[in-house]
Amino acid sequence: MFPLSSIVVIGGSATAWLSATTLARALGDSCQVRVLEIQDENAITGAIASVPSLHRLLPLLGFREAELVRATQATFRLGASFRDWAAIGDQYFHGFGSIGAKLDAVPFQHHWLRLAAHGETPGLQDFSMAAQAARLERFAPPQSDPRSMLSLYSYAWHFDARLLVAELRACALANGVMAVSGRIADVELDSEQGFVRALVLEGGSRLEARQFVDCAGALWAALGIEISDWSAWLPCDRMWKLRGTPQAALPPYAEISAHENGWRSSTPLQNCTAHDFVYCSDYLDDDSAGTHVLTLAQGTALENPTLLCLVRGRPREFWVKNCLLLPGEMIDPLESSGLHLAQTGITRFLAHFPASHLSPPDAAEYNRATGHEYDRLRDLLALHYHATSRSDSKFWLRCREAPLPESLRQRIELFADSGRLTVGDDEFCGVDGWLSVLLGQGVSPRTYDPLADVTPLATTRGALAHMAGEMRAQATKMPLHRAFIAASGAAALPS
Amino acid sequence: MTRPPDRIRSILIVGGGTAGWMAAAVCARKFSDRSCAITLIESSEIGTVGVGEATIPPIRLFNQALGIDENDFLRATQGTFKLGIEFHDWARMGQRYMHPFGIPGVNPEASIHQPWLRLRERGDVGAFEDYSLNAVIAHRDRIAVPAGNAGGAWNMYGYAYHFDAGLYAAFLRRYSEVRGVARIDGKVVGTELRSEDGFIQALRLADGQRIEADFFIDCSGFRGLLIEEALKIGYDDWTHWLPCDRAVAVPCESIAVRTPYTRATARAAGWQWRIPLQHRIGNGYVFCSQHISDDQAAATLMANLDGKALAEPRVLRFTTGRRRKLWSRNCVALGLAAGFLEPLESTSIHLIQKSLTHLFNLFPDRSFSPVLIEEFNRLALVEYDHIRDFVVLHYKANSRDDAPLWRYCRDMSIPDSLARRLEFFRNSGRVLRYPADLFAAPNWLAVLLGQEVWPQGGDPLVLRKDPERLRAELAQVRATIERMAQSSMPHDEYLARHCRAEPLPIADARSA
Repeated sequence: MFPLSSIVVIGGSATAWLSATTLARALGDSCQVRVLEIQDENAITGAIASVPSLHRLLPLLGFREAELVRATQATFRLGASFRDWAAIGDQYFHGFGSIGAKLDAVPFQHHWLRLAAHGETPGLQDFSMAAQAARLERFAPPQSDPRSMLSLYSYAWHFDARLLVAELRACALANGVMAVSGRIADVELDSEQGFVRALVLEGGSRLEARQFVDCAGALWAALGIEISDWSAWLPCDRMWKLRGTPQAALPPYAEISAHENGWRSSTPLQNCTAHDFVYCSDYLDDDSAGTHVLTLAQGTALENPTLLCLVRGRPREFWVKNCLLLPGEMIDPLESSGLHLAQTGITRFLAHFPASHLSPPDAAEYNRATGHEYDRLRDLLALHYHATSRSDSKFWLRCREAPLPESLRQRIELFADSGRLTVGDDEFCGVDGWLSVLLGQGVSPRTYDPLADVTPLATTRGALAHMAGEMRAQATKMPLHRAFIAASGAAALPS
Repeated sequence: MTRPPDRIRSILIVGGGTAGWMAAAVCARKFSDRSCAITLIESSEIGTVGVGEATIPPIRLFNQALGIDENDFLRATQGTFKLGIEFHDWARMGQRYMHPFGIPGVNPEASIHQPWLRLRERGDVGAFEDYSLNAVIAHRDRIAVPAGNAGGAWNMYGYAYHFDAGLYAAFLRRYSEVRGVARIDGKVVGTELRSEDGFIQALRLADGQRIEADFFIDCSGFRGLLIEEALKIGYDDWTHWLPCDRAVAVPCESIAVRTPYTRATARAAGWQWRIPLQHRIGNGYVFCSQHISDDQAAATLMANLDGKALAEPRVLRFTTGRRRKLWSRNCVALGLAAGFLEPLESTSIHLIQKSLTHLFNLFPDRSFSPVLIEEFNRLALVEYDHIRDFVVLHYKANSRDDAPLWRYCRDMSIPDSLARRLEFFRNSGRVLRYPADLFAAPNWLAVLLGQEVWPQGGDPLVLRKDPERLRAELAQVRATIERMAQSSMPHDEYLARHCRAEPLPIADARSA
């Protein structure tokens, strides 16, 4: 018999539907997949930003890109622009894809740092194809020919959250997933081993399953989940979301600005602009924050703002008894990691799909790999808050002064010595992303790889100038983002 | 504010074996502007231990990075192709399996071992290696040398080489000297340390010369002249897990057909290697001195040669393990100076290559930042640990009952990292992967299945599929491999046509 013949996914968010569909498609008729929709519909609002890994999943779920973009009023995303992070008035771009290219087998950043050491300072983002196009508000999909500059970047999407959830839900139902609605009144545990046997819903009905997937934190209390506390490094625990009217410009990126008690972002969609305000409730009360988010929309608000809570940490284990925890969208969304974490979490679960009801080696490996993934993401997020010269509020002083996680401390120290980075290929963000954030946040290496000096300085200067020029020329030839959406059939009909 | 590095002006390499000349060649290539003086000291009085004449596929990247032409290299080193390693009598007497390079199957997205495991008990699906192009053509003494852009199922194919390590060192010496590396024939008799920080300042030679350098690379062999004798870094002894501590080696005459694979045959007190080169076959018996004398080991070896012995058997002694650090102060150790793992999986040259890669990714300036040294040690040490686990697996997972060594190995405790892998595989037939693993899932699978470690369960996602459909899929894989095998050619014919080496006088063919 198939070991897990029934799975209940708890949530109703994008993560929950995406997980349920992935499971249903992989398991076919061997397993019945149901989703318990406990999510308050009002909580699903604003934008959901994704990262390029979603390209791998969409075709597996049967989505066609242009149709999905149209149905979700989506826009394309080349990265994000960060303002006021390292210091007030500062700006950097964290784009998808590579920064420059190796020269004489020496990684790009060393050549760039070498020019900087000689007093020549081309912007780092001049060497990012994504940033060059974003700056011009232009967009075209990359090409696969590795000789082309157009192969050096990648992209993702911003979706209207409500419409994306509707699309994912419809897709799940079409794949045989059943929707159940209700609120959990009680969690029924197996008295011997503490496995979850059933969810008791308000009204008394029971929902039994062999396996539960919790996308909403609904089982944490019943399972006695312990949390690794991240609040020293990631202080934000609240988020206001508000939809405003669409703006005249349609940049292919979100604007993320540091604020004296957190950060705020504006994300362009076809039908609206999503305003988010993420902050730390130790320094700012929810009402004042709610007033602030309204000022961000400058009178264009389309509805009342919605308040969400964020978790400042992660569960110590993600696969506990017969429950899988997917808390990705509950943590600080600064790097838009929510969908990605659900995707890797559920893919990893399938790769470790238990051979029997109990499979301790699989669960142990799942927990090790997932813990590692979350901790490296924590490091990336913590870097934004820590590496700053801001001292204009208690919030920033606290962020600057908190002792760093050891893994991040080592990574910063190695980079600060001579621009070296060792980033695992199982991390959320690769070397180029780390480079953008480290340099963008003002971490300045003492020196660079001595082997960069072997290339004649004039050759380096020429090669970099050529690269930036070629990228600019290619970016200039791209259509405007808005025009691309219209021409590719991805534009939503006027509503 | 970023400043230019305070560049290292001179590198002194101690020892001219494979490790020394590999290091010299890489240094010469990296400092092509000759901004750094590179010197290698070797003594013509001290023999070198030709570490491992068999290699694994990443060696090709090493040669490519140096711009070395494959055929030139094979001609100069009496080299042959290697598609894998065949193991005899390891799991039990009379059993054999191949650890082929490359990846089994024809599609990187579709792993075939779970379907194979599922159908194995029902019979009629053949051996696991029947699904490896490498193994299929290796058994026919054929090879393929696909063009770099062949793509598709050819991405599942891989190869390395067998070569004479002494000739390879000589080949790299010519490469290095042309590119400005200075060679000193001399014997190091003393090391001067700087009093303030213990850095190596200079070496003294027997003839009275004193040679200074900013940076030192210790390739002096087992004794570790700099890393151990001068810097006293310490050694982790792994004899508990890998009890073999000697080897006896002898070359013999080549036979008509050169097999494109290494053979490793388990013996009562260790195992015997067989490495076919163009001009001879390298042979050796790696053994545990607790269980057999040098003379008995030599007699066993001499009784198991393909052709006439070309020299007297020579005994080497070693302690398996590695230094606690491979980089200390201004000195990096490579090759035997860094550690020793028996050549069962042909990893000696690879470990040199990997350490050089890490070193040049983290190449220091004269401030020798501790953070670089720490990072290098972290990366380089874990390479040794992973390979150790892989080699230990061959000993641990055996069902031989004919000799005390094999009973000891079956019962010995193993490193936790390997115990976790074994438990994981036994549970579901899945392979645990650690970051920075040299040997990937296909390598572990070949040896786990070859050593007859049978999992209790399988992947439920495969178990739920219709067995007839799985059978048809596997048949399809074999048909595709058979079609690809048509474009292979006999190994000897390829060598004769593209890279035949001149015969060597017997005296030069002595080292095994």
